[in-house]
Parts: sequence; C-alpha cells; structure tokens
Amino acid sequence: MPKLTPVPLSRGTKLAVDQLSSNLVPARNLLQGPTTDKANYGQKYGRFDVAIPIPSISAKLMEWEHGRLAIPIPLLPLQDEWEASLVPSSSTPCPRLRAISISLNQRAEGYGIADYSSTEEGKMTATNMDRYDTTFELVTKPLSMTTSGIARYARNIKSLWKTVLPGVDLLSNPDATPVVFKDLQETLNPYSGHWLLVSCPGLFTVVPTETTCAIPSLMVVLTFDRVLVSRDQDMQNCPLITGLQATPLTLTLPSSNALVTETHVQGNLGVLDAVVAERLDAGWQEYGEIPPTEQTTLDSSYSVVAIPLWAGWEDVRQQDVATAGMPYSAGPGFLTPTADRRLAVLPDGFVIHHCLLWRSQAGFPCPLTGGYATGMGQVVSPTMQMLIGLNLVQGWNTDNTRYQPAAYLPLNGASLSDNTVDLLGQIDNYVPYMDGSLHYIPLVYAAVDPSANGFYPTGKPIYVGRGTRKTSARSTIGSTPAGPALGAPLTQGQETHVEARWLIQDPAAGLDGGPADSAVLGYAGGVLYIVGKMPLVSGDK
Amino acid sequence: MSTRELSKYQAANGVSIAGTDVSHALRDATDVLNDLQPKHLERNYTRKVWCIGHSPSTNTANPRSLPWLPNYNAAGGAAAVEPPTDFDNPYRYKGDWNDDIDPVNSATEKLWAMEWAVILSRPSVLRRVVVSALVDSAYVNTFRYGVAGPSNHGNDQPVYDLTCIVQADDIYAQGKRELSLVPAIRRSFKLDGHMLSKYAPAPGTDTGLPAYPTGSAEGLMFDMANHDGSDLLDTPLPAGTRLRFIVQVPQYLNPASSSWGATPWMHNLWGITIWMDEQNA
Repeated sequence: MPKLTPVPLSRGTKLAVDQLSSNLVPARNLLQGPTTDKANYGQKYGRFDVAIPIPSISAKLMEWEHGRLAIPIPLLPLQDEWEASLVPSSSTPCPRLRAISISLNQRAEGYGIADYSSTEEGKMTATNMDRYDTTFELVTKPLSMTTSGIARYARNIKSLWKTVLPGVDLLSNPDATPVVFKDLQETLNPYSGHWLLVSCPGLFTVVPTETTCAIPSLMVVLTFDRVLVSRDQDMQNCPLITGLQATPLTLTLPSSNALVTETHVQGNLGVLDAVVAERLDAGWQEYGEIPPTEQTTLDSSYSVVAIPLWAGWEDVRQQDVATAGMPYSAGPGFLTPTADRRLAVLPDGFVIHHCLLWRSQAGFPCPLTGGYATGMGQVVSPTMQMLIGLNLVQGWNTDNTRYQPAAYLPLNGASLSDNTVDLLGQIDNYVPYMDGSLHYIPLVYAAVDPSANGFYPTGKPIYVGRGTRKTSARSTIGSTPAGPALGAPLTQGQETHVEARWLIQDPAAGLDGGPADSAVLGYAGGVLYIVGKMPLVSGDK
Repeated sequence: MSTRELSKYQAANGVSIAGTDVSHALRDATDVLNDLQPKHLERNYTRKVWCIGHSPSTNTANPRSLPWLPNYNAAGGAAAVEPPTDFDNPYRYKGDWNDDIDPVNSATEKLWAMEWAVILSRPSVLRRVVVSALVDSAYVNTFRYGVAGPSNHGNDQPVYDLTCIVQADDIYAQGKRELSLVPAIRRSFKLDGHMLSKYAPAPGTDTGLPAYPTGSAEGLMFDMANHDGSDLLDTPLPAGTRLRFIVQVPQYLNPASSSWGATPWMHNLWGITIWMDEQNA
C-alpha cells in the first residue's frame, strides 16, 4: 500500500463529509492491517553481526611466510530475494558494513600471552612487542562458483577495509584494546565473496631465547545494517496457526449532508489514535505466537549466526601424528570417525534460509617433516569424507530428546569440493596456497521445490522455536536433502536449541592415510553459518 | 498537553468545528502514519546471536590449553618468573573466584579461565547467556568430587565449582575492575541440577545428521538468566562497553579431588550462546 495522501481543505471551502472520509478511511484501512507498507516507515534498517570467535592464533601459523587466517563472511540474500543469475537486481537488498570490533583476551593486562611452544603456556610475557603488529583486512572478490566450474582462488581481490594494530598497543596497552571502528559506510554485493584476513607474522620467532606469543580468544565482530524484511509464512516446520488477522476499526462518519460534529472528527481520530498508542505489532513471537492483529509488514531482520566448530592448535589434526588428539578416533589406523559438535540457542521464530560452512585450509609445518610440500590442509585420500549437519533439537530441560535434521552436506573424496561457493588462495589455482573454502549446506527437502532458492538445490526455509499446544502443530519437513517425502517434524514443534555437527572419517585409508605434511583440518577448524530471518523484539522483552 | 499520538487537536462536546482545525488534525494523522518511527512499533529491536565455543584436543600426552589460561592470584604465585621481571605474577587474572581454591596457591592448584571479550559499537541490551559443557566418551566429566576433594565436599557428591561471569567494563576506565558491572554471574551452584536432560536420551533418539559417534548430546547446559530463558537478562549497556564472558574451572592440588582432574579444560565441549538486542535506526 502506498503512503497516505492527505486531502487538504482549501481555504473558504465548506466543510463536507468527503473531507473527513477521504482522510480517515485510508488511515483506518492501514491500521486494521496488515497493510502498513515499507513506505510508511521512518526507519527501515536493522543491524546484524557476523561474530567470529577464534580460540587462539599461535606462532606456528605464522611460521610459514604465507601464514594468515582467512575467514569468509557470507552475506547472501534470503531465499525470497534470490536472483538465479547471482547478480543483484534493483530490488536486491545489499548489506552495508557499519562497524568492526576487535577484542582479544590478554588477562586484561598489558602483556602478551605465551604460546604453547613455551613451557609455561598462557602466562603473561613481556617480549618485544614491536614485532606483533597485526593486520586485519576485509576483502571482496567474485565468487569462485561459476557456471563453468570452480576457479578464481586469488583473482580480482579488492580490499574494502584494512588496519594494522601496532603490537605495542594490541598486546601491551590494556587501554588500546579492544577497539571498535565505527561509522563505516560500505555497501556490499551480497553475491560476492567477502573474507576477513588476519595476519601477525611477528608471532613466530626463530630466536630461541625469546618467548613466542599467541593471540588467544580473538573475537572479531563485523556489524552490518540491511533493510528489514517480512516474516515467512510458507516454511517447513511452520506453526499451523491462522495468521494475519485484521481487526475491524469502526469509524462514525456523518451521512451525506449531515452536520459534522466533534464526534466525527475527534471521535474517529481517537479510534485510530488508540491503535497507534498501543504500538503497532507483527511477527513471530515467543512460542510461535503471532499478535491478534498484525499492522506492519517489516517485522524481521536479516541475521547471520556463526557457530564455530573445532578449535585450537590441535585442530589441524595432522595425519602423521599418532597423538593427533582427534576425539573418538585413535591410532594406529584412525579408521573410526572423529567429530565435533556445538549447541546454540536460537530465539523462537527464527527462520533458517541458508546454511554454509567455512572449511579452513590454513596450515603450519608438519611436526615430522617441517615442510609444506604436498598441500597443506588438503586431504587427498579418495575415501575421505566430511559430513556436516545442522539439527533442530528438542530436549533441553526435558526427558524427551528428539533430533530433526535441518541441513546436511557430505563432502566426499580427495578434493572435498562438493557445493563449493567460494575459495580464497594466495596463488590462483594452486592448491597448496589455499586459505579456505566456503560450502553451501542444503536445507532438507524431498522433491526440488521451485520456490526454494540457494547456490545449490535446497529446501524451503525452516522455522525454529518452541511451541505451545496451540503452536506445536507444524507443517511438514524433509529428513535430508533430496530425501524421502516430507513428514511431521521429529521435534514435535518443541525446538529448544540447535546442534551443529561436523564428522570426519576415512574408513578405508584411515584419517592418517594422506601423504606427509597434509592435514585433515586447517587451522581454527571452521564455522557453520546460519543465515535467516530474526523476528524483531520489543525493547522490554 | 495532549496524550494523543496522531494529533493534538481535541474538540470539546458541542464546540463549533472549524475547517482549518479539522484539516490540520487530519494532516497531522496522515503525517504520523506516513512516517512511523520506532516508538510507534512494538518491536523495534533487532536481536543478535553470538556463538562462542571451544573443543579441546583430546591429546592428553601433550595437552594444549589456549584459550584457557592458568590463573594464580597470589602476588608471588609463580615460582620462577622468567626475565624480564617487570611484573610480579605472570598468571594474574583479575575478577576470578572459587570457594574451594586457595587464592594463595601453589603452581599446581589454580583456576583455569576462558575469557571472551566483545566491545559494543552501539548501545545494546544483554538478554541471554547460555553455557553448555557437553560430555561423552571422549570428554569425560561426571561433575563429581573425588576421594581427595575439598574438605567440605564428600566423595561422589556433585560439584559446585564452575564459575561463569559476565562483566561489563566501565567505558571510561575499562581496566578498573572495581567499576565493572556484573550483569550475570553463576557460581557455587550444583552443576548436576542443570544437565541438558534430566535423563539420558533414550536409545535411537539421535536421528540427527550426521550420526554422531556417541549419539545424543549430554552434559551441562544452563541459562544465566532463568532456566528456560523466560526471565531474560535485561541489562542496557552503552556504546563502547567491553563485555567479558568468563568461564572458570578448578584444578585442585590433587587431581583425584574431582572429575575436573589435572587438565580441567579438557573434559568438556564448551559452548556459549549470547543474545544481544539493539534498537533499529
């Protein structure tokens, strides 16, 4: 609905019924909703964060002259905004970078933290801070994913933002960090690749008498804003309640040629005013409820939830190390899977549109050979598998645990390149210099639904949240991508949290079956990103 | 002063209606409805969800602790301070607490802390913090004291010695802990009263993908607000605030003191979920 058009009363004009009705009736129609349009909003933007926690950057990562950490920042459009051409149209919402904050743990003291190579890992140390200048850079590039295949690791990279934090500030001045860079104003193409690069070459030192330092608990939060969006109603696992109720508002308008009284003016304005005073409401709320009357349409915001998986120094899980520290898998042989999982609590009414995976391929020297000869971070066993999934879970504070798969992707074979969206490397098309990859994890579905959109075939968006007896009845949901027919959700409309999983296995060659210097996982492991719609909330709830 | 939202115009009963007044009143109403501001909307805050986690290596032969930091509070707590000796205690960690760890400790009895800091770019409201510490066959923790536990806790009794703190540093003096706000803290609580599930999940309930080697998740999961988040934290914080999320676990002099053992950070898969609300602009 367009904006209301005021119909002014011309000077000297006799007050007529039409002057009232032509203003009051459109206002009534707007407020009895749900017809309030974007044009009626003085503000349309909501902020969202991409918060990346890195447990520790160690000196070893920087021993290699190309050592750096490269983390993708997915900003892709929602399913209902998707363009098959992967080119933004005039109506494609584009996020704007607004702030970047950088924090790290240093015991809140002005000293560095000793790395694991020290005999006293984790203590404060006052080595030469000048060498710890650390670079943070956000770059953009065309996606590697093309219609003709996957390429362009290191091509057409453009720097969007860059800063070098002096080591004396970063590690030795407790008042200099954390730091936030505000008032940024950079509009980004949602169909491009965006990567955050972190590098601190001075962390590594060959001087044996000097303690090497680490950067533990590095937290980088990138803040964007983006236009608000409307809640979904056609989803998997959607509460089966009647929505979009309009509450009639009754105006008392004078009949033709009748005398206009104060009731017709003040009374009618009062009817409308009461609705505004109650504050206009809409959107998914706790336990899958929606308000009795929805007067607005912009009730949700774009959201990215980054769930870190694997972490720490041993996450590289060198294939050549018998004591690699891989849970559930032991040498010799490493024939059983190793795995990691993380729980996260999403607000009721969150709607999952996309899932993506960052697989780090940043490496460091193999402790046995000290070299990088054959593809750091790359697994070349043809029987290698990585299985990544996101599951809805019912079970927190209950005695009735249930799992409902929401997204799932197996990465197979030597290249582990399934559903690749983007790659970043330091030399184009040269695998050993690869930083990492971004993969699309399809949502569950049965038959391909033309209304479901993503970089690869995927399912329709998925509602997440707890339910009452009224709202726990849900629409059907798939069980796996391209799986059997949709069915009732296993979580029975009672999702208390989600669980991300990442399993790695090589039942034939074993997890140590790769060549020397190769690694199962790159430094820092990876992140499972959930991109979706977050219902707006009240300031007091 | 009028309490009306749409127009200040109010006509008393029986008053003559002036066309100009009516026209202005109607114009007021359309102007408001054509430019709805956050104050007119019930829901004008965006919720952000941050997830933090750490999955320790299971390499017990060569354990790595970062991002967990060992923590003594005694001024001379470190027996051997390496040069340069321009500070007394290289393991000092402000703002920690545990009832059963002697603050004047030895090199083998201490706290281990994992801290994550975030600085806010805009005013925000801290709503919720959920901490999880999962257990299974690779991450074993019964959350029980052992035979050599603290004197006030019997063998095989549930532990009370996990501490989780949210601190909000003063924006003008973030190094002064005495000025910090503590929006949430959980300490000295009975851990086994906050398990993810009261009962072990029934066999076959793990239908998640991929199938996990040890099945359904089990362990500790608790809300630093209410148990189910229905009574959320409600702490407004100014822009520039450094928020610190701290988890502390104990390492007793005798590893048999509790199921935390000699390497307490290695016994769980750790996760923290944080909800922050920010007003739209």
